[in-house]
Amino acid sequence: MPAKHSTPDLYTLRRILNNSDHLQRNDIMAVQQAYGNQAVLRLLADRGQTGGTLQRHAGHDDQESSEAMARQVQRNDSGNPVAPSDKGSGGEHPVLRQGTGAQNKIAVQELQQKLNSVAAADPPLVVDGIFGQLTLKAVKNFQSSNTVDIKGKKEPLVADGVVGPKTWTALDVNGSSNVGQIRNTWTEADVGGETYGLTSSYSWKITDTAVEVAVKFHFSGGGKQRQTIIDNAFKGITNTWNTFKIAKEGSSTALDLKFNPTEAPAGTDVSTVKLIAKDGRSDAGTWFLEDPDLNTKTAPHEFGHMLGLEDEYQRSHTDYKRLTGDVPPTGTPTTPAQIAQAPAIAASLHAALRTPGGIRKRAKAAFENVIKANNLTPGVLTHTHIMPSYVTQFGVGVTQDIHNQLGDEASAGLPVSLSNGTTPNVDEVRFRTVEPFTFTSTSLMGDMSTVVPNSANSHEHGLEPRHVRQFTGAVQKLKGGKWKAVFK
Amino acid sequence: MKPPPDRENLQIEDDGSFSLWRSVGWTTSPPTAAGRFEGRLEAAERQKLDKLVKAAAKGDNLQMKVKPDGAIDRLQLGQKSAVLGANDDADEPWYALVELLRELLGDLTRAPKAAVALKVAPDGQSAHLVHQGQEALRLDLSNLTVRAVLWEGYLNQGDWRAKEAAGASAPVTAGPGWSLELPFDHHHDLNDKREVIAYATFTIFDGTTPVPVSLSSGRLKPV
Repeated sequence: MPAKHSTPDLYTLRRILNNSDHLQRNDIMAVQQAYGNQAVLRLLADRGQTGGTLQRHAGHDDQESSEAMARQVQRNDSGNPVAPSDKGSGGEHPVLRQGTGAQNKIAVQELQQKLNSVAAADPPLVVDGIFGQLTLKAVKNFQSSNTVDIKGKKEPLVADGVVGPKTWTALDVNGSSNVGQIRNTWTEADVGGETYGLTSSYSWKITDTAVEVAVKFHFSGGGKQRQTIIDNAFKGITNTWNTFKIAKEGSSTALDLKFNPTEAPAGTDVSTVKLIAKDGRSDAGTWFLEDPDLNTKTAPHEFGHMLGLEDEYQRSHTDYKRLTGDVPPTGTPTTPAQIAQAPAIAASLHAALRTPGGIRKRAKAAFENVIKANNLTPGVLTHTHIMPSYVTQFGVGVTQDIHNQLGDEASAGLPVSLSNGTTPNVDEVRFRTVEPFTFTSTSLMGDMSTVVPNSANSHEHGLEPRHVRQFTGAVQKLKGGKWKAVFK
Repeated sequence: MKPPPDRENLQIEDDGSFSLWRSVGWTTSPPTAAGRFEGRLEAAERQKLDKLVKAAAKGDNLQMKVKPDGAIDRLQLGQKSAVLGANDDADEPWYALVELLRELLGDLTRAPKAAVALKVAPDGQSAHLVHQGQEALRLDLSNLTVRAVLWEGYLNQGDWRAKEAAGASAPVTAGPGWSLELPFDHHHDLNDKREVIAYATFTIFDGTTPVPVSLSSGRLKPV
């Protein structure tokens, strides 16, 4: 076999395997030894021949590659996308300049309030949402006397009167407002190497009693029952999301967190959704009307994306930690002998998990036995050694099957070893579905296995306080003190 | 997000022969099955396909952004490729080719080799898994789920799920003539305006690889 080199193109890989349609294990091993795991994954992804191939894979395909795992989520801001950013995240605001249109009125109000809060205008600006001469003057005044922190270095702002990401970042750090408008184009990288993206658009307002979040939708399609369908979807969204209040610690003061989806004409501050009168897999821009879970799960989940939340299913170890704040337990072979045994460990796991009778009854014993037998540190298997061996030997399709089956076990009592050595408590198993190679939460943004639609118990709506932390942060910034989101 | 994931693979050779694998059967008429399908394109299909392939091959590779939760369509034509969301329209010159191939993902289930379909009786009171094709298929029914939703147009009026899986604990080999009656005592009140759609999830083996599949049966009457 030739020495390992960079992954050849698919044409070459197919020729090597004589255009075989049914790849056998030895074929996979041969490619892996010659060209590495990335080549194996590419070949498994595309087993086409000269006539053409169409493949359809659901989002967050179970093809995992070391390259994808190392890839960082690309996003305008640099902080945790679901955590309030102390330094502000300028990329989440629309760019504003003099004469900016009505669709950015709330953003201009936010700008004007923040400029007033840092005394950039004398007298203070009238908060009317109109970016006129006085607002322009205040912006330039602020820019000429402030800096922005870029990767630890203070950089002077350019006093050009355009409020872009840097100016917003500086304003977010120094100023405060009781209104805000977010327009953020973000991406999320899945472990299969694909990148998903969306522009999130919403506005918020803090009053004495509530935090009100408005999301505008523009729908196309829907047919004769269109309005009822939309009303039901909105009802599903509010039933799910209006489940928190933001409470001041050490006080009885609390603000009701209210989400308000509404219809609006198409615009830059409006999320567009196609309503399709058949069954299919919905995504953030297309809802299928024959989806039986449209109102109770699909629409509330997609609403989460419109608030800027990423998916929490089938994510890499790094992304799962970033998104949920939880560190999924992984066991790591630490000695050379253990590392050398990685292929054998993968085989043991495979045998244990694929025992006839279903993984459902055997996951607990399977993981415990494999971890104990190979003297791994407590937890499930690492990405860096055992996963490549597993995928190489058994194919990417198996990981998806494991994911689905393990997902059913999220609340059934995982081994103590899968919870970092502590006894699992209810909240812990609710937060996690632990998988061998990818990680999924049991929340609305994850696999939703524990979501109970319309439950009287807010805890069963599939949301956690982390999903609304950006609003907690806004309250904290405005009012000071420590606040947290709690279930109503 | 909606388990299980799509995993459809359609390979068409230069001579018009095809091999198709489907994992998810959406509501169509007749209901789409899951499993392996093989056959040959009709002359008209092949002619149309050849024309669209030539047109698409003249263009550049296509790489479109995919929205969260979307399935991804990947098309490989020799050295050229297209990647886009399964719910999105392809840019030219790929548009017509992608639309045709998407249709074929459903139409070519007319030629089952080893597949399983979900069928509901006309009165909506019973449901079966039914083998299709000439070859046997291995199934894992230990995680079988069955659901019956009552629809009035596109409005969900009732949702029933079988409490216990009706499947076998060991893998099942389903061959020609095989069928399995499913628990279906939903007690939905059916009338002229309301109909029931059944949904089932379980696992099929594609060779030795277990693949989670999802089937829906029936098609809602247009409103």
